[in-house]
Amino acid sequence: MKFKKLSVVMAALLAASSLLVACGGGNSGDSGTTEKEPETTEAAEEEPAAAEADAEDDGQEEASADGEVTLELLLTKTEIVDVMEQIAAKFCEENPGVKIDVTSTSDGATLVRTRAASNELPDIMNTYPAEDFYKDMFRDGYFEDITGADYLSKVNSTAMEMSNCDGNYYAVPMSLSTYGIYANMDVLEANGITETPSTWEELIADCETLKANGVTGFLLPNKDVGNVAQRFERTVGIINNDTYSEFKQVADGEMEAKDSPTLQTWCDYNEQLLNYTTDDHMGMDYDIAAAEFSNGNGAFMLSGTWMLATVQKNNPDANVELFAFPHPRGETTKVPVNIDTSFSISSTCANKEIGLKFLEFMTREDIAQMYCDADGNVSTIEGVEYSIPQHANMKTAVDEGNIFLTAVNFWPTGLREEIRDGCQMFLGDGDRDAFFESSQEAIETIYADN
Amino acid sequence: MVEGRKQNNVLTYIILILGILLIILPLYVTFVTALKSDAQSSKSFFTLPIPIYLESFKEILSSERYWRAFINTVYITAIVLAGNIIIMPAMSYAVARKMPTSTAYRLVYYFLLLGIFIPFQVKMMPLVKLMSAMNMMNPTGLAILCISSSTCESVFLFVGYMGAIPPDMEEAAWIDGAGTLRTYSSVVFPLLKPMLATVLIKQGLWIWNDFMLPLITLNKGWQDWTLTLFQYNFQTEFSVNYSLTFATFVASMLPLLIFYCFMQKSIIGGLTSGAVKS
Amino acid sequence: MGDKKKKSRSRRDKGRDRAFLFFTAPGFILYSFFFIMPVIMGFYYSATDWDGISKSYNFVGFDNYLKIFRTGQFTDALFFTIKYTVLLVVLTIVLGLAIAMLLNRKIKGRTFFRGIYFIPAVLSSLTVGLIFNKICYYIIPVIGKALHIEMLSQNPLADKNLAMWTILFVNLWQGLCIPTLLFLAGLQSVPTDLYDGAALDGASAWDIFRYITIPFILPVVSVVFVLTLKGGLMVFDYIKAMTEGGPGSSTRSVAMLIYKHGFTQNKYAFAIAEAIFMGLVVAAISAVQIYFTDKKKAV
Repeated sequence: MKFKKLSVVMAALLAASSLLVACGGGNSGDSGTTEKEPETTEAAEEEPAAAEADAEDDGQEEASADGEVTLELLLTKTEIVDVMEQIAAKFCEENPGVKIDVTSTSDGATLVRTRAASNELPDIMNTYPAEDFYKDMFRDGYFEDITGADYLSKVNSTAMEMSNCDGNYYAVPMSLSTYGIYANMDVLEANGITETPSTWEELIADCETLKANGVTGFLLPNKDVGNVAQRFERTVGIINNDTYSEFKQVADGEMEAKDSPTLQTWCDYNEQLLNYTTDDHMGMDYDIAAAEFSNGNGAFMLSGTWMLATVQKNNPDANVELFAFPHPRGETTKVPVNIDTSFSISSTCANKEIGLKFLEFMTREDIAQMYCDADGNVSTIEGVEYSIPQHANMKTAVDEGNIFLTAVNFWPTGLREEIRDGCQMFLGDGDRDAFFESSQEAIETIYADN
Repeated sequence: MVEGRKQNNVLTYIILILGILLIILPLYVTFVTALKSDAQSSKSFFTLPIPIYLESFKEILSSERYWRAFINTVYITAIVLAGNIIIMPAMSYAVARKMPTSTAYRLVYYFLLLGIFIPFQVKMMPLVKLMSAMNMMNPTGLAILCISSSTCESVFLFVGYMGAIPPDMEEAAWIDGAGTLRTYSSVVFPLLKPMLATVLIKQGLWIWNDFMLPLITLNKGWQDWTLTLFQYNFQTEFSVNYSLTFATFVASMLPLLIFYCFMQKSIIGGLTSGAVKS
Repeated sequence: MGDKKKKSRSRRDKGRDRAFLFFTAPGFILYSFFFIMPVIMGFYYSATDWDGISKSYNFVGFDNYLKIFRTGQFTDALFFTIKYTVLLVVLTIVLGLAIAMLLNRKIKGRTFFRGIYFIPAVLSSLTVGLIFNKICYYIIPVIGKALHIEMLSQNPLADKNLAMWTILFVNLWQGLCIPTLLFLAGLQSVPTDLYDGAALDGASAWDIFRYITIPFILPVVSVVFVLTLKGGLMVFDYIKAMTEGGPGSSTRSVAMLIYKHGFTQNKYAFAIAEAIFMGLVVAAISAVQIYFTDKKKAV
């Protein structure tokens, strides 16, 4: 009898939900680009302007009768969702009849793969044109070739060089991220430190001062293996700008990992920093560390320009500054940069004309400015005023050309992910031999595969 | 002897109550954190939410995406369960009764068992290709996929259960002249109900809470999201906001918790009353 | 038996066979198409160098399979997975049965207790993992420090020895519910007069458990065994949500390793080869299990 009751409830739910899904989700089957009919008629009544748009993009079969086009904008960077929603709204305002659906995910890797496998990439999305993964996709024709587009001339030449793929361009680079050390200035000042350190000795001296006062020097989110990998990749790049060749020697048997000066320095500097971190660093995730840092529970944190948005979300009053990671061996230091945000349109874009228009829109001075102000990374668009005081040091570095393209763009695919477990173990137990051994194996395996 | 039993009962209570604490504590923290502002939480995670902070819930419950995800999840779960009711007991009946005499059916059974142990990753990307070629990257497609994926486990459970039911009653019906369909619907199916309840609950919970299949098939836009996808995408966006994070946890588990509260007796009853009295 | 009767019999038998075929077909077709077909495609890809995304790839034959043991990663992950699975299966059966027997006692509030004990089952494993991840950071150290337990005074997920146990605990926290209910159902099938008779004969509690309860619930034990075995060997969600395989690689299950190779390193075809190899290992284990249960049945 009880079973009967359960079945009745089930049946009722099935009926009700199928009705609802049928009503609202009728478009789910066809890549969601066309609006459902009843809604579009409504929209047509409300917006006579949509009819004009129709005239412009005739021949677009995906567009429904009155020219309403919905494009999907996918962001794999969740921290820029807010600003991109505003920009998308502005774009729609200026282009009646266009609707942009902003979606975001933090699992970009899985999403891009599955969407590519089903040949249904989002209409517009952010890509990383300097990475091999995306370069392969560019070569496979997943994205629209925009070589020679007018608006590309507004992009800074360094960034263009970085996003070049076999002489062609598939993405509009919007900003460059730079990597260094964030300092919470309020914490420093409270401990009598007025300036960010410029050499390794000064950095350690500052940490000593903080330690003497019972303040955490460095927040190191070592539970977060992705963050460990990134810290490794960026900082070994600072220690030696050409780690590809150095690791190649290891792979070729010309050098052993334990003799690699870069890996040794990496161990040295981490051993030092671990003296000034929290007891629970091995249990700390990145988001927690960022929150702690923003709220003044630590003076320094290794990160890149993208973290500013998170810091401000955590604590709008946080007074932070990003400075270059000083070379631990005292040599001159360069700032690692990478293309942070760039936008591409997929070759399956529902309406390429509007998609391209959106790319152009992103490079418009006021829009790029709006983006830059929210994003915090160094803008690559001409005419954008980069006035983020927290990143003034980084701006100088970029202007002076004191930068290098970060290691991951040269490393064979997968090296970062292969070597990171050993890094995390080292940060936990400090066992150098084990670290060198696992690095040796990781480097040999990955170089052999590529 | 009576005293011994009393002592035993006291011990039973103590153990069961300790177990309840272990179960409730994480849930308590989840609910309480969702109902406190971050400032309140950062002071202590254990205190009661005084005053109650409802902003996070308001934000989630006023989101169109949440309700859409809710409806999608109900829809998919309901189709899969309906499919399970229609297909699995009948199939298992045929397999269980033919297996001893027919090699073909025995092979079918082993073929189905094989599926239990195939790691999901083997078929993950091919599945995406297949589903998109069939234009099935939508909730209905996912539901059909889930029915197919639940075949092995459901049949495994039913066939095992059928083995414990002596064929006397069906044979009696058969000798009385009832057809196979009739025998199935009036004799076998009612006997299978307890296991059917188990299978439905198990599959229902799996589908409701599944993450990987929706992630790979329903990622085209929030219109298709299920509650797990909603929760995942939403919580990463606000990962530093404890209140919102935990509120999304609560919001995604709340529908099932409410359903469970109402149907608890039927669910537990259906599961436990069910065994065959030999 | 008359000739006529015999004929009608066989016609009925044929009808029955047809009906059975009709019963089996829909599930079989769905399963073959949406389950086995992708698996076969997977086999095909495992003989290529496909990265999971390019439109072109080359055939490499068995290269991917030969590479599986090139580093110790797979062996380590397999060892971890087996250790984890054995613990999970044993603890699930022992604790599940124990709780089921407690919940089966005639005590006040039995329905209430049963209701509460099932709650964790309705949550998604990902949610459970994420909740416990936060609990491990914020709450466990507070408790550990208050109780002066050195081991628990920091995030247990950060300790390579404790991390597996923490994941196992969380897995059991949620994964015990359904087995417990299945056991509870099994316990109902034990005829009460058998218990009463044994009690009259003065049998000890252990004897009653050993000679009456166990034989009756053995079929349930084997169902729970298979389902938990599957859960243990494929464990992914909890690990992904809590440690991502860390610290280092101390909690990396085979499923996590496959994920790492296929999705973070673009070695998709290689990852499939590993998954297939894992499937073979599991098939071997379950063949042994089926062999022994069949033997038991025969005895």
